[in-house]
Amino acid sequence: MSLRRPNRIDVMCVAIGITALGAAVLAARVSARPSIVPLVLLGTLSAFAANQDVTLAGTGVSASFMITMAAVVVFRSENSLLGPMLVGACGAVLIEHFRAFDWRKVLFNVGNLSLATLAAAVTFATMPHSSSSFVPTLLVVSLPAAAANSILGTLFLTMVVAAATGRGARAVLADYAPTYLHVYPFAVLGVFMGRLYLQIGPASVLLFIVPIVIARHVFKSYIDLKEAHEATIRILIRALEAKDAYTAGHAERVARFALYIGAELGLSPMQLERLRLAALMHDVGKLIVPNHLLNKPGRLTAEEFARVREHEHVSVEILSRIDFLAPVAPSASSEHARFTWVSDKYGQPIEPHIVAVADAFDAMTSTRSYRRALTQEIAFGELRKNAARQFHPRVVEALIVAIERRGEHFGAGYEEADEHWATPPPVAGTGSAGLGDLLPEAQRVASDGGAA
Amino acid sequence: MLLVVAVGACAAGIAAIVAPHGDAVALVALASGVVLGELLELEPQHGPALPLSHAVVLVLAAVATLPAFAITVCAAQLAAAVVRSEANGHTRVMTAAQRVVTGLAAYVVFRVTAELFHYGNGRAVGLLALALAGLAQIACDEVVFAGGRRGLGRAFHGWEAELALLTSGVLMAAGETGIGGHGIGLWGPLIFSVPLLATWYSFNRLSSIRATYDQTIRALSLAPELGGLVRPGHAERVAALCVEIGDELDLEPVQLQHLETAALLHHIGHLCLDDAEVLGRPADPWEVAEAGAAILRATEYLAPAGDVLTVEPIRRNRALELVDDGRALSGHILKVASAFDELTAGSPQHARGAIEVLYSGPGYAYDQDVVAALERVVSRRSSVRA
Repeated sequence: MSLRRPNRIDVMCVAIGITALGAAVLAARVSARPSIVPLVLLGTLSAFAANQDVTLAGTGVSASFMITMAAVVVFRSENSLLGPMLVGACGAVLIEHFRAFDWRKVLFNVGNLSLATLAAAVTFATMPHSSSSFVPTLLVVSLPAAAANSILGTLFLTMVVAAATGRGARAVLADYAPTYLHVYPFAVLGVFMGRLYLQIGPASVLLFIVPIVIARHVFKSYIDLKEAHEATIRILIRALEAKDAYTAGHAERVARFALYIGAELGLSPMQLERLRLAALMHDVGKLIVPNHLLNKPGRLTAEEFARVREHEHVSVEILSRIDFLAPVAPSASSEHARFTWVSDKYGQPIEPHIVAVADAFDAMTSTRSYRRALTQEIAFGELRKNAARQFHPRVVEALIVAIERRGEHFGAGYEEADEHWATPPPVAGTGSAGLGDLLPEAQRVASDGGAA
Repeated sequence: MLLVVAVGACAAGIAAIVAPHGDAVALVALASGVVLGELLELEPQHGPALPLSHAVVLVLAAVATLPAFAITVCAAQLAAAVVRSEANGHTRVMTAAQRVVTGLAAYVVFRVTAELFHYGNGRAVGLLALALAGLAQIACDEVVFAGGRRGLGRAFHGWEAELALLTSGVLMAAGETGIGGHGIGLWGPLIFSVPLLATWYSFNRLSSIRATYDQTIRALSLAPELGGLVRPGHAERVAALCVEIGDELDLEPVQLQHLETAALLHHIGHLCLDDAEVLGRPADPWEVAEAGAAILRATEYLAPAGDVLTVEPIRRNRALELVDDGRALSGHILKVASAFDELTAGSPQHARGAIEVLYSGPGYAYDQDVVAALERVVSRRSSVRA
């Protein structure tokens, strides 16, 4: 770390701070003094909004931007430029920076946001018809002000971040690019909020903010409950893995492969979430299989096999009781997920096929109690060989493309736990995930013969 | 959705023609808003669902004359009754009628307030009238209509949803009329519906994840019976009974929730133990409880339910109860409810005998207060059945 670089940033921060202070003094001299009530109200609100960690609708736009734009409109009516500057500055006061005694950041943010807000206020004031009550006019004249605000703010930020990280200004700018378009709806909302303030007074702020605060609070409860649900599913998987030591991490990996395939096939975020949960829970029925059968070394008798096989029905039964997962409940059954051209034609959900392929791939590329993992190439070969008979061909290709594009490797030679095996990995595949392995010998030979 | 808007617009178009005074375009637009608002509801956890249409009706009350208001609301509610998806014919008509009455109540409150204080500050009076009208809507919904079904104690429990709806309604109406100033017309309700829509989105996400979570726990509770370890329906029956007994013994809603989860999953540990044929003996109930608790304690969200499972079978320690937020009591309730269900085999005829067995059992096994509460619950159930 050289000493020069921090120094340059120090200089930039101080320069911006001084420029902002100078601009504020000038603004106070050339324009009217802001009135106290809106200044305190909007300033407090702006600081409050900036310190909330949730941004508006997940866009990365802080709610304080909206309040700043409202301030631009409110103080336009009293021809004050200092008012919006101060409200903008309030939106830069982050408690975390004060806690960390990061005065440089405080100075820069306050300076930067007050200058950006000043730019917006000046732009808005110079626009014709800016106090019009005709809505389309107001929509049009608020856009340049919003643009001035976001462009100036981003410009200084880019300069400092580029200097601090040593990255090129263009790369830094590209990071902020996604938020450019998002600011406009909020800017427009802010302008109308300011207009309403002028008409019905401070009550408007309350009416506006209360539902937003409630929405945010409820959304936080949603996030918490989602985490609780996630945690519940995880402990369930842990309980399953405690029963069957050889399946450690199986559910998580199947979920991961299923997501690879789902993304490759262009499923929507909601479908992907559903697919992920179904993949995580596809073996949940194994809870009812006695431990000694799951861990039995060697092959199972036909009777034992039937008992193990029961778990699929239980999994389907459990998944179908959850409304969100019910449409993809067959994911837990290898029978339902068996590919036929007929089922493909009738628009059956694709998720069961995805889980079946992900499950089979992971079963083949992970080590079991009685055999080592196959290599990835052999596993791909097996999937391709059984595509259109057992597996959905599109799904198989999607998995292979997704894994190859990521350059990832699974199976023999890439195991998570590095064990030394006396025997080389097998070169012939096993059919359906896990259960193929469990097939009694006689039945195996029969089914292989039948397939061939 | 398009169909909905079309139906609403047609209905309101008729309304606008019939209405003697009033801006036809505004009425049609607002009627469509009412129809759309009927399809979107805020669903708080403890309280009846509230349709977003309340907010639009408030706007309508602020701008329309009484005949125009009445006809528009009636037309919109008829259209909403047609497109409403879930309910049967009777419920649809009743809901529409209820909404019309609610709307008229809001209108009357708004006008009366505005008249009473007409000499006051125009702005403040306008806001007050709107706020009271919004309050009248919610009160009408919760006390007069829902109150009869749910009991008055439950009214205003979903206060967050109510407050959001109330403030948004006033905001939208104020945006439209400007309250004596220059409003921005229909743009007002449109633009200022954004905070309400954000609230709706949040509530919607929350209630869907709540349903999924609840269904996940219930689905898991099936595993022991699908594995043939307990009688079918055992977990659901015990859970329902536990909640009733817990309510009888004044557990808090959060504690009831943990108790219900524990009751649903109280046999889950059994699935992780070795088979009776391997062990050479049936699984010990205490082992089952410990194994279940070990699973549940792996996450902070279910850990309290895990504690409920492993409450020691000794007489309740009253001093401890103050600090253990009801877990010990919950554990005793679960023991009693589970034993009761096993004794009755789920059939109400055996209830009397089962309670006697629980009473005569050793005092340290079954808490006598809990058994007394069970007796009250059972007698209430049988009187309902008779």
